[in-house]
Amino acid sequence: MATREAGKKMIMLKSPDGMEFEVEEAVAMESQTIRKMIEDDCADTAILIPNINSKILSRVIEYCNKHVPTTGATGAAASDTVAPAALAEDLKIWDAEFIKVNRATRFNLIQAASYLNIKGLLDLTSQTTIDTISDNSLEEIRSFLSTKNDYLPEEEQTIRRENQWAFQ
Amino acid sequence: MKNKSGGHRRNKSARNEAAAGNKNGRRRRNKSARNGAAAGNGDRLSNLPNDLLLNILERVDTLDAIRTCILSKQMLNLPTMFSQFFLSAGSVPGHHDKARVFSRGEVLRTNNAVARVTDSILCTRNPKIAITKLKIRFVLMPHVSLTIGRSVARAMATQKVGAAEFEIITKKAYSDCSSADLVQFANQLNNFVGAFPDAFAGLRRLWLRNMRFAELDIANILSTCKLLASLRLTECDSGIDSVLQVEHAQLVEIEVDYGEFARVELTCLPKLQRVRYNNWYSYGDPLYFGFVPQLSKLSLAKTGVRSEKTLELSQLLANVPNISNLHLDFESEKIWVLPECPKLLTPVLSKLQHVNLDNLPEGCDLAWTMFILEAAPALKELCVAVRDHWCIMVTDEEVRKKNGYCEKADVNWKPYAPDFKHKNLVKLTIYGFQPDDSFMRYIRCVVDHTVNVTEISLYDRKVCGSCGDLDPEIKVKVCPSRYPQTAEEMKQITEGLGLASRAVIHFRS
Repeated sequence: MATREAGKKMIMLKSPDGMEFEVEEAVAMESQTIRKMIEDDCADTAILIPNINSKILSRVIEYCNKHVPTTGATGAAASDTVAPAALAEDLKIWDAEFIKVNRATRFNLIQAASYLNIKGLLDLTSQTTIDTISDNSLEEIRSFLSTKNDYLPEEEQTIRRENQWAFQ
Repeated sequence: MKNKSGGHRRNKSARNEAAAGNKNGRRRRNKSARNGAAAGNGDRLSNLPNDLLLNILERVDTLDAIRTCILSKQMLNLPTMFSQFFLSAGSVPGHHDKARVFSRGEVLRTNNAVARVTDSILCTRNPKIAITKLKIRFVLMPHVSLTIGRSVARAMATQKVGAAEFEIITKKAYSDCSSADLVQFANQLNNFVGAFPDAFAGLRRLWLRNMRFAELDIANILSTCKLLASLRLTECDSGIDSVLQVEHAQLVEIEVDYGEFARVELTCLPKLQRVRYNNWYSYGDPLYFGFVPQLSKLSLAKTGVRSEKTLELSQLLANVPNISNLHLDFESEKIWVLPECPKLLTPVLSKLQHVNLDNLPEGCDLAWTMFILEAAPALKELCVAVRDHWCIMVTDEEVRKKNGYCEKADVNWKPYAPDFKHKNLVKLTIYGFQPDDSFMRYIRCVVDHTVNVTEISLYDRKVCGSCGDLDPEIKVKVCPSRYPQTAEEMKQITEGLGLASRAVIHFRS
């Protein structure tokens, strides 16, 4: 959780299960959805985040905290071009740790990233989904995506005949 | 396969409309998300709204994505909403199983599927959704080229097509190709370009393999590919010891791997930024730079043998004022670059910021690399990687002798100004660090001649995927790495270096 620092504007986020999270405005604005609410002045007291429970919301805030661009905090090293590259590398390692979660959590994170419109988190969760299944067979991808075969037998025959390449 | 979602956002509204078939796309989407969570189907991805499914499916190759969608009515139409395509003849059914070896027949069957699917998907997709990426990797066969050329040309004429890319493979590997085969493949490609100039005119990237062209063919192809930003030629040439002259208004990047060019002349390429040349057979300078005002990154890799020319950067780069990034890979063999004096070199290296000297042979003195520091005042990062890379090295003594491979030898070098101080270098990275005199001396030498180095990173030897599977006979010859393992050993090294500057040593492996 962010700690309150002098001069930094704080925003209250509420999850539907009643938890409240106080975060820096800059952190909350990593979400384009919340940014828009703040910019439209719809966020004077607290913002209710529907659909996202406190467990997932706290993870999302953790992600935003890490990814919010740091400004002013860096000292002399700020002018080195080396710093951003090292920082990006750091973030990548952090992301890889962050996304080591079970499927259900990752699924919830995808939904949350989509609703809150956090592109980085959406890319991370979607790419991880593909990376974890791309070593596996197509059947596993299908079952992972829970693709239901909802054809009648004769319909399926036609589909298979017309798309033989897919099934060889 | 990292996704760039610039196009995504733009396409979103068209997609939602298409997906929901009404203007309530957004409301529906939230509802379905809520239902999914409420029902506790936490891992049911097919409950996700279409745009999220698309975001995931577009990260796999298109044939796989279609295979995934095809057996579900709910998902069957998703491919018509794709904005990114990667169609590959390598996407043979079962290709996820790494242990499986595929026959040529299987690849050719998938190649036919690539053509058919390209055709049908470009015809049936929702034309309101712009294509941000269309990459097709296929084996050059007359009927396949015909279908792909026709459908891509038509798509380019009727829809918005962003980055289009052909990666063209030949039905024989280079090692199985006779000279006549190479000529035949080049002819097939010429015919393909001639039949579908409109498809080639819209291409942004083109990668060709195993082709021996006639003298003006490549120039003709380039003049057809008006928008081309990236060209890669692997095992291509215009005959043994031929000269390739390249002129193009849009090219940003050129890569050449092997081939028998005596020289590649980059005569007039106003937008060219990056050049990579991987192993040339020429005995003189492999590259000539004409008008390339934006060229900033040059990568050269070469297994050097005795008879070949040692490159003089002052001559090679005489017309290239803006190189900022230089990568030289010596592939564990002879050092084929001459450490020239700053008077000659500084005029061509004055903008240089990043230098990477890769695969320097083990056991040789590194002091010569200081010539770059002396000559490149703007340099910020120097990365030196030392290793005898046994997986790619020729180890048989007879073969080495016959082909002119060199014995290990130190490069002669003397500092031009023994007390010079470099002001801009901040970072020194060494791969293949070993705690011996040679490395310790080198680090001290760099630190002594710089005033601003703050970060020195030391890594163990680089290892590739096949380094673990070496022939046991070779394996016994490899000296085990003595890279420090314990905090105590690392402390010893840091203290042993006794650096009086503010440089900090990091052990990163």
